[in-house]
Amino acid sequence: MLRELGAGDERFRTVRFTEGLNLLIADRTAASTEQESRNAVGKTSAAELLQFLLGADQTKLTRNSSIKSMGFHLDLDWPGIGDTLRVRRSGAKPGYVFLTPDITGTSAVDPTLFRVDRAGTTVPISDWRSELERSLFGIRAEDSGLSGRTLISFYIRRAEAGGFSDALRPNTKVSRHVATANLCYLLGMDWALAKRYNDVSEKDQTRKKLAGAAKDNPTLGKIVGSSAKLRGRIQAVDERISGLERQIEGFQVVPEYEEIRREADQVDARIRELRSSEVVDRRNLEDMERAVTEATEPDDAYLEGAYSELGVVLGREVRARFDQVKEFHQAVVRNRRHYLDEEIDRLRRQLQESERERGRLGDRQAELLRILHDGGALDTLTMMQRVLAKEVAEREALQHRAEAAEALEQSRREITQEKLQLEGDMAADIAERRKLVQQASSLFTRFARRLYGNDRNPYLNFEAKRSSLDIVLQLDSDSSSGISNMKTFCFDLTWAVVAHRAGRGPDFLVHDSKIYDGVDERQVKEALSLAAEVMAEEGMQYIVTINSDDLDKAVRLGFDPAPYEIAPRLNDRPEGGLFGFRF
Amino acid sequence: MITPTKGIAPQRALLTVGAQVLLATEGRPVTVSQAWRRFQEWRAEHKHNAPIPFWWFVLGLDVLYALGVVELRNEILVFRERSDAS
Repeated sequence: MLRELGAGDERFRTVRFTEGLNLLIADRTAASTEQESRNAVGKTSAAELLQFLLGADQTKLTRNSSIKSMGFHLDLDWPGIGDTLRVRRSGAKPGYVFLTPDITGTSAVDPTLFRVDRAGTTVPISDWRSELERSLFGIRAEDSGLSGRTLISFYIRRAEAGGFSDALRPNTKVSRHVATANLCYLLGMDWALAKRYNDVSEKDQTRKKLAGAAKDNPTLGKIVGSSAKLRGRIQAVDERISGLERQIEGFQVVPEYEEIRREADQVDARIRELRSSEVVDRRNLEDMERAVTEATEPDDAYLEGAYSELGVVLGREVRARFDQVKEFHQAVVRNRRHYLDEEIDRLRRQLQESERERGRLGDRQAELLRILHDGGALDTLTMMQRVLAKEVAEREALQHRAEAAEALEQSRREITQEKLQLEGDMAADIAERRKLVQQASSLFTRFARRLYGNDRNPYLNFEAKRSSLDIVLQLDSDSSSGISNMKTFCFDLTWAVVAHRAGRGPDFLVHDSKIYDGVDERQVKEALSLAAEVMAEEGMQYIVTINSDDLDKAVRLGFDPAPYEIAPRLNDRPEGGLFGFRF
Repeated sequence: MITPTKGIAPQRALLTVGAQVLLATEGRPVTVSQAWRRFQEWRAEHKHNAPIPFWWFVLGLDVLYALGVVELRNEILVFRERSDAS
């Protein structure tokens, strides 16, 4: 039970709760316009402060400069201390709560961690949350997936967080799967199984994001491609690698490769040189051979003719006799022959020598070229090995990517498999818990029929689907906001009762006035009567903030709010709100 | 033959050839082949384009010999000043 909501500011109008139905009523004075419509009255703030004191994150309200330094407190029944526990928290130091008495001594929390004073103990907010989980819901530390905060958000739905837009979610931030798992806990279903939907969904999301990113983003697409394409590329690299390996294996390193190449070049140059000098020599040889024949061409008739003519022309000048001249002539010719023959011999020898050398050089050249062709320089080998290493690294990278891509494709199959498995498990589990489902459903049916009459056939059911566990709330009506709010009302009442009976949830439930927005008067009246009834039966507490005009709908149909109204009665005058002043 | 005639151009006359050998070798002792080569070079330089066969060149040398201007010693042609002593 919640007992008191107060603040360390005397203007604040302390709210005192009782057992059963609690009506925190907000009046609209004639002076206020529709616009002002109880904005600052504090109905919503009441729920917000309760949440804040029960470990919620800061909100705009608690950050507001006018009330930031205000310390708020909540008194609530606490198991095991036979008294109420007072929790204090302020917007100025939201990281801690102050607990009176010190309940942490009985908890697993090490008391030496906290600054203990005579009145209580300061506890970090995270420890307070754990305490709430343990004491209000019986959640153990190892129950990962259950969240006290999520559960409290069901117990105290907040309109501004979207708490009334969906009966199955406490606010828009909590994922469907997580909300369902926590509801399953309250309703006594296998919440761990339900939570697996969340795990699978997250896996699937991650996979989809990755796959989508790989498709859209070229960079990511480079990191992960399709496994088939990558396999193709790996094959190509493999072929290059084996080719290189073969080459390297058959590679003979010629240590003096460079010298050999130089020598081959020199040999080649020498051969050319020899060839061109042979050409010259051959031409010379031909000239000489021609000259030999030329020299013998004229006969002595010429000589004789010349000599006699010489005698005629220069008779007195002639010093030599004809036979001397003839001898000289022959000597010259002979000499010339001799010289030419020698020259011819020399040239022939030279040509032969040159040809021989060319032959030798040709052989050498062939040998060198063979060496160069078959083998290679060490440089070439190292270069080949470098290329090989690069290709091998490339293959490795591709291999990794192919594995990643395959994992991606694989995980799609796996996730599908897992979903099927989960669907089967969940369906089987629901079937086995038929009794529990029936109990919850009959409560829901009872509540809904109370509101809408017996001609309807409302029910609550669990449906295991492939991607989600659906909690079905059947009210077969149109989906006006009034109807959906009443559906939420019936459902909240259902799980609150089920959880409380099983000791899995606290004995209070808080509804913001928002839940009665747009609800027909008959349903308002029936809902309030039903709440009062059920709370009395179950020994629970239902706190609802309600506008006086909504309440009047019920009153007109014979509902008496007097036993349920709690102080203060709020209104829209400056001092009439929860805080007692405007800010 | 010795001097230019109707059939023998001035540059081919044996006296001319002999004179050209003297000019080409500058009167230094040379081998027959050298004399022949230099004579040909000289003629090419002086645009005497009429071809002279080797044997005609030898006739030119014979004329020089007959006139006592050259002799063959150890296979070398040696040119000398003409002595008027016969």
